[in-house]
Amino acid sequence: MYLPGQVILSRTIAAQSEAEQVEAVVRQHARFVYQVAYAVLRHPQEAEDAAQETFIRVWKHAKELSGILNHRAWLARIAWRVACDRRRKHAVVASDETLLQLAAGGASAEESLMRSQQMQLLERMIATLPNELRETLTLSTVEEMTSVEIAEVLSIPESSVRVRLLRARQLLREKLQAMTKRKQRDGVEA
Amino acid sequence: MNPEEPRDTIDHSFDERWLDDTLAGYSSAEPRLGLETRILAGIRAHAAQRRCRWMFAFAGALALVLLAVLVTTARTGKRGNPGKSAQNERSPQMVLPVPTRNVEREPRNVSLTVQRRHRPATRVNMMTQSLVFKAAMKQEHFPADRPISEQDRLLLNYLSQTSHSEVQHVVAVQQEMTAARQRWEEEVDSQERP
Repeated sequence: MYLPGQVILSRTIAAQSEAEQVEAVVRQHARFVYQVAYAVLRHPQEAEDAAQETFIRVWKHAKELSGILNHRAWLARIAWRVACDRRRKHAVVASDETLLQLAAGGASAEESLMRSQQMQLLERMIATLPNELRETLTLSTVEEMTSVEIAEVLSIPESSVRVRLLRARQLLREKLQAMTKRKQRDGVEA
Repeated sequence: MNPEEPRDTIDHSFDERWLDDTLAGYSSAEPRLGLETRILAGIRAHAAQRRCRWMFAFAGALALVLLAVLVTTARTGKRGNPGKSAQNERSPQMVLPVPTRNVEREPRNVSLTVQRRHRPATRVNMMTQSLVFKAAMKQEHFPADRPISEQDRLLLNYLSQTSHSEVQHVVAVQQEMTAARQRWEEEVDSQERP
């Protein structure tokens, strides 16, 4: 027979274990969640806020943690949704922090500038892709994210992820070639 | 052989490499140091805020319930008090009235039946009111040493509803019983004395 004291004690223990679980998840996957958010938002502070919001949601559903098999995919899905919501609500202002981070990485100023220009070019090219291809490609750029996890986040079959990635890369390549040819033509004309 | 073909292949491989390199660095942004600590602190703050909100909500609900109880108690108290206070105010002025009417002696049973048959409720009330009024008038001249009790009130009502002859009859019976009891006690006393 359960007494009120026992019930309170068991609840307290359960709450403590839940808090410990959440803490462990945060310590293990914070960087990954940040990168998923960053892939969508392209802004360090916004990505950090999104990661924070993601883990607050995790804490609210801490009871479900023990029943989840793939924490990474679950977290990626939450982070993805949070980031997409934030992108819809706030228009993310481009900042120079990426440039500063690249410069702090030890590369020379010329290399950093070139790299940031390349990144901006890629961002612009990705932005012109159809929505489903853009989403898939963006998630694939996150470190260590497998096609299975991407499929789980986007709720589509894994084969669709592969097809979308191929198509996205093909489109990007075509755009890149078209740009290179235009540059060459401009150079010859000049 | 097409002279453009090797150049296309070189361009294609360059584009591929460029795409691979740039996409690899696309989301490889590292968070600032201490991200985990900041996230955990944020969660704790959120939990504390939530707990605080619950406590405020609980306190508010409790305060509302207490207020409702207080208001209800105050209302019932107000409803209950006026009757009591009026009774308390009236009580000291009332005395036990003594009926002084002289009614001719009639056969007991007949008078009772006649009076009960022809006495309407309004008349009873009027009689009670008149008795109370008389008692109040008497109180002005001969104030009583104690307030009228509930038993006195019942007796007053009985007297107002009963005929004088019946009361006299009851009094006579009581006197006879008292006299008989006194006589019996005297006999017992005389027998006990040596």
